[in-house]
Amino acid sequence: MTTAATAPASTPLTLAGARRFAEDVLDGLDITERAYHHLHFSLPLVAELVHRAARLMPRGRLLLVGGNALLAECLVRLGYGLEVWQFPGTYLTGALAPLVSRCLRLEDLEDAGLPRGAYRLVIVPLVLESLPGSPEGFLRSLRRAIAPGGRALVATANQSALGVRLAAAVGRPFFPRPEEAAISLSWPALPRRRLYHRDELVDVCRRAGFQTLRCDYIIGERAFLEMEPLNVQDYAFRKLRRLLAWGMPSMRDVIVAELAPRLGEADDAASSGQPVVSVIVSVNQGGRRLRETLGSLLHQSYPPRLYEVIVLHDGSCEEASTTVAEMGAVGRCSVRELLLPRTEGPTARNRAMAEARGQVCAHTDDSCNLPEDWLKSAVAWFDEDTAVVSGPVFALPGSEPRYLSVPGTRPDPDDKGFLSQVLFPITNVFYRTTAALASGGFDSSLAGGQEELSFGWDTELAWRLQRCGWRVRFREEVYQFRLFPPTGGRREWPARQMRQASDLPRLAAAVPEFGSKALTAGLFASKQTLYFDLALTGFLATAVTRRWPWLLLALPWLGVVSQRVDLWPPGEWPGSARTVARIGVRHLVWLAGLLRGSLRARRLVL
Amino acid sequence: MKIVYPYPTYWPYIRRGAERCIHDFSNYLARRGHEVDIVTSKPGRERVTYDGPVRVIYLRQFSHPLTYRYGPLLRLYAFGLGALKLVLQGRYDVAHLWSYSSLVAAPLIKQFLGLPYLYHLIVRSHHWPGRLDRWLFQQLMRRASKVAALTPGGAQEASQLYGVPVEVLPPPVDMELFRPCAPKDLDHPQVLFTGDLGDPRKGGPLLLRAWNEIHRRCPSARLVLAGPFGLVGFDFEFAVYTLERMEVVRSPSAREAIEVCGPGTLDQLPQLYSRAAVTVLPSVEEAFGMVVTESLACGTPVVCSAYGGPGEIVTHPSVGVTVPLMSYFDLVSERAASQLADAVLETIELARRPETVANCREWAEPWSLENVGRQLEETLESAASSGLGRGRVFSGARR
Repeated sequence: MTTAATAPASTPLTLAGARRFAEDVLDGLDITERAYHHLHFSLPLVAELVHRAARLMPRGRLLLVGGNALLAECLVRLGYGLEVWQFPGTYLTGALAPLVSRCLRLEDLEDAGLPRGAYRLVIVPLVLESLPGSPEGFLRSLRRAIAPGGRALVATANQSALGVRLAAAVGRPFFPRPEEAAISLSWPALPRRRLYHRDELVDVCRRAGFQTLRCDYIIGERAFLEMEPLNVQDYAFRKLRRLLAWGMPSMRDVIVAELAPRLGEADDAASSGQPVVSVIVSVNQGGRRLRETLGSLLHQSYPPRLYEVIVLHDGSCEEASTTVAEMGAVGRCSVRELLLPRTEGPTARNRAMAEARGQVCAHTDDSCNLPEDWLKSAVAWFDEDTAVVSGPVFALPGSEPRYLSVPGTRPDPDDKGFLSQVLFPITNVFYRTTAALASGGFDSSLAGGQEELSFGWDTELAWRLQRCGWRVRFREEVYQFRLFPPTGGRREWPARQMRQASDLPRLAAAVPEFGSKALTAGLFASKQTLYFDLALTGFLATAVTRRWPWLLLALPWLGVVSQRVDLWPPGEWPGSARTVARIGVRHLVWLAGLLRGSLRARRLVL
Repeated sequence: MKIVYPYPTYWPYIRRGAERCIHDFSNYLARRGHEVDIVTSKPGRERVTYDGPVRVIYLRQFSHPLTYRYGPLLRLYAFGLGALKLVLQGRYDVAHLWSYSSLVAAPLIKQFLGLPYLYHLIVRSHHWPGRLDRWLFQQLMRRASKVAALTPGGAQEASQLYGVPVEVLPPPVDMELFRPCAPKDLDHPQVLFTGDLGDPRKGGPLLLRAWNEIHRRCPSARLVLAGPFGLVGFDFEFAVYTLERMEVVRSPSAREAIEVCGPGTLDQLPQLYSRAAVTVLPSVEEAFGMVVTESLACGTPVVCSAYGGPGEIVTHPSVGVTVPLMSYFDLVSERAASQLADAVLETIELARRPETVANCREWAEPWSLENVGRQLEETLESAASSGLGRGRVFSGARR
C-alpha cells in the first residue's frame, strides 16, 4: 500500500530536487507517525547529504556509518550498493535490515577492520562528535577503505552553532544528558562528547590523510518537530534561531566536509623524523661550482647512511663524472650520477625522483652552497601530513643585482618578504617522494620550449600538493646560498627578460595562489611595475589631453627611481638621466613581456 | 453496499487496535463484494492508495507545535471537517464510525441526508476535555443507527451509561493469517510485547520493571519489544521517554537481553507471536486487547490484566495467566511488577506443555474473522436499511 519514490532522472540532483526526492521517499516509507516526524525533522541534512552524494559519486558501492532510515532509503533508491553500519539503539525499517553489515559500538569503530579500497563513497553523519577519543584513527582507517578516486562525506555538529554559543554565554552545559540506551527514531542517539570547529575538522581530516574538497555550514534540522508541543515564546525563539542561522552560516548546526583520500601514502619512516633522503643535484655550471655544492652536501649533519646524492647531467661535461666519482670515493654517502638529455626541468626531476630510493627528495643545483644543517633542518619538518618543505635562498656575492631581474621572479628575500615563500624554487625544496610522484610530479606542460625553461615550472607542484590536502611548509632554518648568474649581454637581455616577464602571467594563471599572494593587488608584478604603469599612464594622458596634472601620476615612480640617482652636484645629472632612462627601458621591456604573456595566458599581469 | 470508514489515523502511521480493526473489517467487507473506502489522514502530502481491495484516502494531517500545546483536539476536529466533505461526496450507504472518528456532523448527515452510521466504542471510558466535546460525543452515540462495543462487559457499561442499546462486535482475528507458523525456542524463551511503547496505559514500563526479576530468574529469556512508539499528539507524558531510555531496567545484562524490533509489518506479526513463549499485555483501561486474541490464534499463551477486555478473554488457566491490574497505580507498583514477573515465568512453563498451542488456538476461535465479520456485515446492512438514501442524491453532482 505504499507508493515508492523513484530515483530522479539522470539530470544532476539539485539541493531542491534532493529535498523533494527525500520528501517523496519519506512519504512512501512504512513507518509510524512518530518516526515520520522524527525523520522529517532531520530532512534538511538528509537532503544535503543525498545531494552531495549524487554529485560526488552517482553510482557505486557506498558505506553508511550510522545514518538514519530516510538517508539509507534515499541512497538505496538512488541505486547505490549500500552497506550500513548500525549503532545499538538505532531504529531502521525492516526493509533496510538486510543492508546492515555490522552493528557495533562507538568504541569499536576505529578497530572495525575496514576492507582496503572497498567503497566508492563513505558517508559518516553525526558520528565524529561522539567518538570516545580522537577521530583521526577512525578517519585513517576510513581513508584506506576508500577506492581510488572515491570520496567521503562527513557531517558533524558545529562548535560555533548558535545554540552552543548561547549555552556558553549563559553557562549551560553544551550537551544534553547522555542517553546511552535510548531508542532513536532518526539519527543514532549517540552521546556527544565534543564538538568541532571547522578548522579543527579540516585539520584532523588532513592528519588522517584526507584532502578536504569542501567544508560548509549546513542547517541540519528543521526548527521544530511538528509533534512537539511548544508555547508561543519557545516557538518564536525557535523561529528566530532559524532566521539567524540562515543569515549567519557559521552559526548553523552542522558542518559537512567532502573529503578525498590524499594522493601518496604517509610512510612511517618519513613521519618518524629519520627518513632516507635523496638529494637531486642538477649540473648547470659544473666545475668548481659543482665541486663546492657536492662538498657542502658531503658534510651534512644528517646521518650519511640516510641520504644519497643523485647528480643529473647530460654527459657534455666530463669533469662532472670525475667529480661524482671523486665524491663517491670519499665514502661518506652514496653519490651517483644520472645521465639525461636535459639536466634541468620537469622531465629530469621526475625521472630522478622515480629513481630515488629516499622517502624524501631534496632538490638543488650546482649554483648553491648548502649549510651543514640543511638536510637535517628540512627533514625535521616532515611529519605525517607534510609533503613539501622549502626555505629562503640568499644570493651569493657575484649574483646579478635584484633590480635587474624581472619583478616577482627572484626567490631570494626582498622587501615584500613572502615572495620567496610562494615560489618553492627547485634549488631549495624537499618533496615527499610518494606524494609528488602520485600526484604526477612536476608538470611538463609548464616547462616551455626546448631552449630554455619557463619561469615557475617548479612552483606549481607544491601548490598542487597543498590543494590535495598535504601540508606545505616554509621554514627559515632551511636556508641556502645561491649564485644568480647574470642574465646575459646587452644584446641578449631584452629578449630573455621579455620572455621571463611573459612567463609570469602564465604562472599566475596556473597557480592562483601565486597570483593572490605574490602579485601586488593580484594584478601587478611588483610595486615598481605598478608605479611605472601609473607614470606611463600619466605621460600618455598628458600627451593626449594636454593637461599637466596627469603628470602627478608619475610621482610615485620618480620617487622610487630617485633613490638610484644622484641629483647633486649638477655634474652627475647626465649619468643620472641615463640611469633613469635605463630603468625606464627595462620597465618597458617588462611591460611588453607581461602584456604578451597576459594575452597568451588570459590572465592580466602588469 | 458502499461503506466508509472515517478515522483520523491509519496504517502505517499508527498501528494500534482501532487501525487493525478497520483494516480487518474493511478488507473482509471488500472481499464480500462491498465497496469500502477508508478516509484518514497522514503527515505530509495527501494521497490515495489501496490497502488490498480497499481504497484509502489520506488527507493532510493538521500538525503544528502550537496546536499540540494549546488545542490537541483541533487536530481531530480538523480531520473531521476534511473527512466530512469526502463523506458527503462519496455516495455511501453506511458509515462505520469509531469512538474518535471525529465526524461530529454525523448526526446531522444522518438526519438531513440519510446516511446511517454504526458507532463503535473502542474504549471503555472516553476522555473529552470540554463540555462541548462531551455533548458532541453523546449526540453521536444517541443518534447513531447502531451502537456497538467490543466486549459484553463494555456493551453493558455503555448501555447503562448512555441509555442506548449496545451490541457486541469484538475485533476479529484472522485465523488464516494468525496461526502457528514458526518454531518456539523454549530453551531461550521469548517474551513478546507488541503494545504501544509510548502509551503508558499499555504497561510497557511495568513490564520493564518486571523484566529485572524475570531475567534474574530466567537468564536465557529475551524480551522482544515489537510495538510502535507512541501516538503522536496524544502521549507526551514523561513516561513515554522514560520507557525509551529503558532506565527502569537496571541490570546491564537484563538490558542486553532486550531486543527492540519496532512495529514491523503485519506479515511479521504471526511469526513474532509464534516464536514467542509468552505474549505480555499488562495494560489498564483496555477495551478489548487484540494482542491477546492474535497471540492465542498463533498458539502462544498470554499474560494480561484480569480486568477489562483481556480479563473477559483469558478466563481459563490453560491459555494464560492474568494479573490484577486495574488502574495507573497498579502500573507503577512494585507489587504488580513482582506479580507480573511471576505470571510471565509461570506462563513460560505453560508454553512448555505440548497441548498449550492447540488449547490457545481453539480458545481464539470465537473471535475469528469469519464469525465476527459476518456479524458486522449483518449489523451494517441493518443500519443501511434504516437510512433514507438521500446522501446519494446530495453528493451525486460532485462525483
